[in-house]
Amino acid sequence: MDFGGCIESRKGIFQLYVISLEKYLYIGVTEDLAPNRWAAHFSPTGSFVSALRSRGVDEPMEDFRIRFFLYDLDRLLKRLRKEGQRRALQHIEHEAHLVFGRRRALGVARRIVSDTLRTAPKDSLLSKSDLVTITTDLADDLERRLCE
Amino acid sequence: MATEKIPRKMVASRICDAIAAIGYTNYSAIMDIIDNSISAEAKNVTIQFFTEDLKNFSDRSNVSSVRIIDDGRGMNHDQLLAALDIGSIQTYPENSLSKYGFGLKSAGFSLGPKISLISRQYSKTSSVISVDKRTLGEEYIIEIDEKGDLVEAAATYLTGSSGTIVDISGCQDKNHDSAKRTIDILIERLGVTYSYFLSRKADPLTITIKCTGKPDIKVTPKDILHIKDCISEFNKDTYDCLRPILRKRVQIDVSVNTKIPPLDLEIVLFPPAKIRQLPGISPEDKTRLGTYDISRKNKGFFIYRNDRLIRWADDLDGIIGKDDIIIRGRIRLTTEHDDIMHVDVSKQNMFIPDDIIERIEREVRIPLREAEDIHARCKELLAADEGLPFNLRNQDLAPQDDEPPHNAEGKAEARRRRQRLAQETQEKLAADGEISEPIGAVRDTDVPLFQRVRYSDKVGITLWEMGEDATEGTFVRINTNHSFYRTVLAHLPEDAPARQAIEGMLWCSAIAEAISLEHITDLDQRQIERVLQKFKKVFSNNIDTWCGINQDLFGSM
Repeated sequence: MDFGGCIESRKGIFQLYVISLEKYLYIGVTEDLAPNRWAAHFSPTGSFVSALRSRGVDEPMEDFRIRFFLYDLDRLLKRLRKEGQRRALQHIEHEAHLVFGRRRALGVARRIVSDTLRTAPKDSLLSKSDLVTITTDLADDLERRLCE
Repeated sequence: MATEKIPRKMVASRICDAIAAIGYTNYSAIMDIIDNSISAEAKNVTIQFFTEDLKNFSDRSNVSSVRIIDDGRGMNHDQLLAALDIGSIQTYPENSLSKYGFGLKSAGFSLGPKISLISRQYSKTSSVISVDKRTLGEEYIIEIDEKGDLVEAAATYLTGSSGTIVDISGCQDKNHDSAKRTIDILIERLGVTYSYFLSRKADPLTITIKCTGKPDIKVTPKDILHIKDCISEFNKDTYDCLRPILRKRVQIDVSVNTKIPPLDLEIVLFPPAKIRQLPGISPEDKTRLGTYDISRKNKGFFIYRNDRLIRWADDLDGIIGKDDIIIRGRIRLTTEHDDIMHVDVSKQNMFIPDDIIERIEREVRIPLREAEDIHARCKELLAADEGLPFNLRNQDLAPQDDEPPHNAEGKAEARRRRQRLAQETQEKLAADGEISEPIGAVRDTDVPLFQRVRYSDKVGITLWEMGEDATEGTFVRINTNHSFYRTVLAHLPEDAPARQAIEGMLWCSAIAEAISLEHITDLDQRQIERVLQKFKKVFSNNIDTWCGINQDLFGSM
């Protein structure tokens, strides 16, 4: 018996997740139970499935090794004023797309299929340096885990 | 059956015609030859234009020959011959500007039919080696000479231990831009194209342009992003629109091969060019803002390969739209990126793969939205100062009437009517949401400034509206929705004499209106109002029509 991993998620907390399928990555954020969100992504019209289909991936999803990575950002974001927390989460999501995209292991060897076209904020309560630190840490950790 | 191989003809003259026609402009051809000088580690490059005696500096096709003189490594006899080979086989040093061995011939023949070379190496000057496209047939024939103009030029200019002169002659037979136009473009482009070479600390490159009968021009380096002037933070509420903003300086990996370095990407947002019209701006700021040359031709990405610009203001497949004038980016790549970025033979063109374009587009997304904020901020700052030069200059201007009311009854009626006008103005301004007593501060003093000229988008259909202030007197509100404002006034700087003259006329019109309403006491005020309103409507309609057919005068089309 092999252990498949444990996910700890909770409704109402700020989380960033990454789904990895073959050479594709999908980055998203949620305040819902993460598996609920993931299930939605994998429905026939879900955004992850649609993004893959638009890139020519037509095989059934069951044929692939799919990995889910979940990061709890709640402690980081709850330090901010309440009205700015959600915007800060979106800011991290957008910056993660940029930072991951610049990296050889995440943006070149793999392709990011999610987008922040409608949600990217111009700024947030997070300072530039905090934003860089958070997203760099995320990228470092994800890179390490993907290579395991 | 074994594969049969048979040799076929390559007609030299046709090949030379073809490589001359790959799309060089005069300036890009000259710069391609300068690339060879830089590859040869030249520290000084001179471009010499010789013009036709009977033509003016700005006449088309007035260049008879062009020479590029350098003090690089120089070439011996065999190297000179090889340099004129088509597809010369050479080993290029790492990160060289050269690539396929076509540049000299291709660029040279695009300028003129004859390419001649003379070089000096180890203090020994070579023969003159030339090829004349006009005399070529099937065979590619090189001529070797021991005398001529170029030998004399070498004696004059190749005074160091090494260097090379490339001479392109017969240019007058080709339809080309005037020497003036080519030199103007070179002045603009050389400083940007070779900015890294011109500004490097160790042995900076110097480039001098010479032309018959004109003073020499020394090219100065120009950082197209003006990084030294940049601020790093942007706040849309406090930005003064006087400095560019460095929005991004990142590295983007483009290959899984760890030997291929990342691309360097920088993105800068500039203040809109219009901000130079801001009254009160210092002459230094105005001059500095002018050097940014914010215009369509300079928007987009400037792409450098091995520190040499290869793409000027590229929109990268439409990432930068036609109206995104204030955004500039710089991408730096090296020879290692040639295959990934599909750099072509001219080293001017490339094809960036979709996945890299997609990532660059993401990087630019927020800066593009911030550019909209900058435009809005600029507009806000300019609007705040509209009319200010007139108001500052005319603080003491007093309305005059040659026929004021003489008797006490007439004077009392005039006072009553003025109070009524002031009351109505107050009510109107309040209803329009505009401050009732707009008072600004006179620069350098604490004396409140009465705004005789104001701009408003609440005026209605007439070009202007008169207003009366109970203590300060008459003012005029100019309609920013009227076509005369959009066509004429908005195109004139706030401190332009023509604009202040127009503001003066409109203020005088408002004075005339107020005085007519207050001083013609033998007529009913409401009737005078109707007449004046009719006058203003007719005037405004007709000036609107005039604007419609004269838009081109002020560049509004």
